[in-house]
This record gives sequence, structure tokens and C-alpha cells, in this order.
Amino acid sequence: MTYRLDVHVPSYTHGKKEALKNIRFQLESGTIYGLWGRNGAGKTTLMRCITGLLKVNKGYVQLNEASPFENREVLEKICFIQENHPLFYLWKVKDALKVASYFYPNWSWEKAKKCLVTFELQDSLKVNQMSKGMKTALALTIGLSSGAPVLIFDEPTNGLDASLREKFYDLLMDEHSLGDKIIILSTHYIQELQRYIEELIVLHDGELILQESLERIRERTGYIHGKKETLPSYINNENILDRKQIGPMLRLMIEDESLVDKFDENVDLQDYLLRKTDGEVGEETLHEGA
Amino acid sequence: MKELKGVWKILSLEISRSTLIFWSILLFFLLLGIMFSVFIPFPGVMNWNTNVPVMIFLIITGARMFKVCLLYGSSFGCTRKNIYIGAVTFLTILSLISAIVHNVVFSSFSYFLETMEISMFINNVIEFANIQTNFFIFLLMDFAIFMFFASISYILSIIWHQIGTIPLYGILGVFLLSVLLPTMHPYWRDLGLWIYDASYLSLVSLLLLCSVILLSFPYFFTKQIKIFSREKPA
Repeated sequence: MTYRLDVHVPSYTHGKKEALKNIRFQLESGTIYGLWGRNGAGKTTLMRCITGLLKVNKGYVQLNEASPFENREVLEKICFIQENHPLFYLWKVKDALKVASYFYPNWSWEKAKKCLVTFELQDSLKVNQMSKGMKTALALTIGLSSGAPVLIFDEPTNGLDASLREKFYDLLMDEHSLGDKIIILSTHYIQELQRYIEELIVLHDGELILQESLERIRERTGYIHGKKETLPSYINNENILDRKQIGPMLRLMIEDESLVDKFDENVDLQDYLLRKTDGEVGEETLHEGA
Repeated sequence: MKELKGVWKILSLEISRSTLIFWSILLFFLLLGIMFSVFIPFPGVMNWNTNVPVMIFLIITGARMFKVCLLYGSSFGCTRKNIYIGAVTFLTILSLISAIVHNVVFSSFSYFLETMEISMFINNVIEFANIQTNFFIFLLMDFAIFMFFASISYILSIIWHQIGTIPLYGILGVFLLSVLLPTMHPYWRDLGLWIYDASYLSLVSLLLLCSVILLSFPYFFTKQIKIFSREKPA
């Protein structure tokens, strides 16, 4: 079965602050989406709206045309693994998994066991005896074993060492290969996840500023290098995101489809997102020998 | 139904340790009392009560229950309504089990103290009412009393969660000043007389009715329950 998640939130307020505005996008199963934004951009609020933890008053969130808010039939299809996922300190690993198994009808004990072996977690280990990384691994085990068609991970690799992060990505790809899941990964560390993400959703000040495939972003954005005098046609381009001067040399980050052939270098995604959300063209002058 | 089992599992894992600790402490003190009465005899009878500690335990448990299952239940995709139903049914079962365990302990110790002629006596608050008592009546009364107090603390914890500490204190303050504090008011005397004269069925019915009303009321507002502290009610 295929799933489609429709999100249309014209406005969502927290007290006096407008946490989300002009959000509208659709997600389809079979794709891994990255959700990126700076601190306070509204990522967590958006994920809470999608998972029915918050009620959307203006607009709607719908999974196959049904709202998740207070709707068990939809909520059992969404597994949201939060950053520092709530786990009672006296629970053992097996208790946490047992509790989770009640809430997800497609729960797989086989996958749970595989994850425990991969993350080297023992059944009898208590949450209060775990390191931060182990708690994250347990939460990820819940997400990966849930069998839910919509998997949402908020900062999934927080606290995991490099080896466990790799193992998590492998397990995630196994889930992805089933082809029927909408997977959303919210992260600050886009560099590491860009290998796995197919489409990127970018929030800035609560607003959706980008929803595009990484391929498309890379296609139309790049660096152009050269001496200042040789780049007069680009200097005044209105799509310059960043301008860096090193002595006589100039490096421009430009987002312009018509310049695809002129790019000397592919854009660094992290840099691109930072410049994109800076609000003004980055200007930096580095002196030779500095 | 499966998610209700999930809520019950969350709650049973949450309270199993505190329940075990509570009953161990209660039994330890009862045994300590017996040892004192036997080995260090003194004139008079040592009086104990076991209802009140169980009541206090259930008040504390009832107050914690909602927040616990809201936090963990919602993180696994359980609806507010199912969390509420799960917690209320668990509270009812817990009150019943506590009443059974309490009465088994109470009856066993009372029988033991009587047959061994130990100068220690365990009171039961129900004996203050003018009713014929037996194990079944004790059990039913205990259940109704435990349920009533646990319900009050459960509801107060929801109000506290929803509106915060200061507004809750305000409401309690108004309630105390207007209803509880005027101790000389005739309604207290009337209530005392009514309790003294009432049959156990009337007492049980009244307490259970109050519990049902208390627990039913928020059911209609479950969608408005906020999960996060800064969240505006839905």
C-alpha cells in the first residue's frame, strides 16, 4: 500500500509566537526526506503536528486523507522517535520494546532482535544504566521495529558513535528497501545524512523555504572561482548566496540553473543551507597568507 | 484494546516498584509493632491503622498516573482518549487490588493478634461508621474509599497539568475557604450524622458515584488535554 502525507499549515502559534507559517508539502511513500532548519526553525513543532501531538488549528495534516490528531487508525501508522525519546528510567530494554509492541500493529520482534544485536544492547539492561548513545539506540530500535509506514526520526544519531551511526543507516536502508515507507530524518548534521536523503525540506523561521531533491539542488547550485576582473558578469548576479574573496581571487556560490555549465565545483550542502537561511549574501574577505 | 494494554503495561511498570516498597514498609512496621508488643510489653494497647497509609499511597499514585501515561503513551502514538480510559481503568483495578490486599493483611493480622492475645490493635476507619462489618463489607468500603481518594488526586493532577500550579492553588484555596474551612457549619455535622447512620450500601454508592462523576467529567474534554507545557489547549 502506498501512503501520502499532506501537510498544509498556513499558521501555527505558540502563545504569541508564530511557530509555523505557510507550510505546504506532500510526501510520498518510498522516499527518504530530510528535514533541516536552524534552531527554532520549527522542525520539532512541525513533526509534532504531523504526529498528532499538537493539533493544527489552521490548515490540516493528513495521512491518506485522514487526520492523525486523536485518530488511532492513523497514529498506529506513524512512529515518531523524538530526540531524547521518553523512556522511563526503570524500564529494561525488553520492557520498552514490549510497551512499544502494543502500540504498533505491524511490530516485528525479529527486527527488534536484529537491532538489539546490531546495537549491542542487552535485553535486561535498564534505561538508568544506559549511556546517551544506548538510549538513542533503544529508541531507534523501537522505530525500526515498529513496522509503521511513516517513520520520523528527530536527530536520530544523537549520541551514537560513528560505528553505530553506520549500522543505523544500514538498518534504515533495509527498511527503505521495502519501498512502502515515508521516512523523515530531521537533523542539523546534513553532511552525514545527505548520502541517504533523497529530498530535502528546509524550514526557516517557521516557514517552508525549500522542498526539493538533493540532485536538483546540486544541479543548480555551485561555486565559480576566478579573479575579480574575470568574473564581472557574475558579480552582480542576484542569485549569489555567498561571496568569498581571497586576495585577488573570488569565489562565488551561485544558485542559478542557467550557469550549470560554468560551475567549477559542486556546492557543499551544509554551506548552501547555511547561506540559504542567512537572509543576506555572505561576504568574507580573506587576506593572502591569512 | 491493544493500546489500552500498552497503557496498563506502562502504568504497571511505573508503579510496581513503588507498590512493592510501600507494602514492604507497611508489613515491616506491622511486624515491628508486634515485636515491640511481645518483647517490650507496656500497659495499654498499641493502636495501628492500615487504611490511611493505603489511602495516602493511592492518592500519591493517582496523582502521578496521568502525567506518566500521557508522556509515554503519547510518544508511542496513543490518543489522549485511550490514555485517559487506560489510566481510569487501571486506577479502578489498582483500587480493587489494594482493597483486597489490604483486607487480607488486615484480617490476617487482626486474627493473629487476637488469637495470640498480643496487646496491639489494628483499627479500620470503616468501624467508625455504625455498620455491621464483615470481610466483604470491609472490602467493598475500602474499594469505594480508595477509589474516591485516588480519583480526587487523579483529577487534581489533570487540572494541575492543564492549568498549572498557581491557578490550581487558587481553585483549591477558594474551595478550602468556602467549603472545607468553615468547620462549624451545620453541613459537616449533618454529613457526620448521615455517615454514622447510613448503611454500607449507601456509603459505598455515594463514594463510587462521586468517583464516577469525578472521573467521567474530564472524559469529554480529553481532546483539549495538552501534551506539552507551552502548548495552547487544542
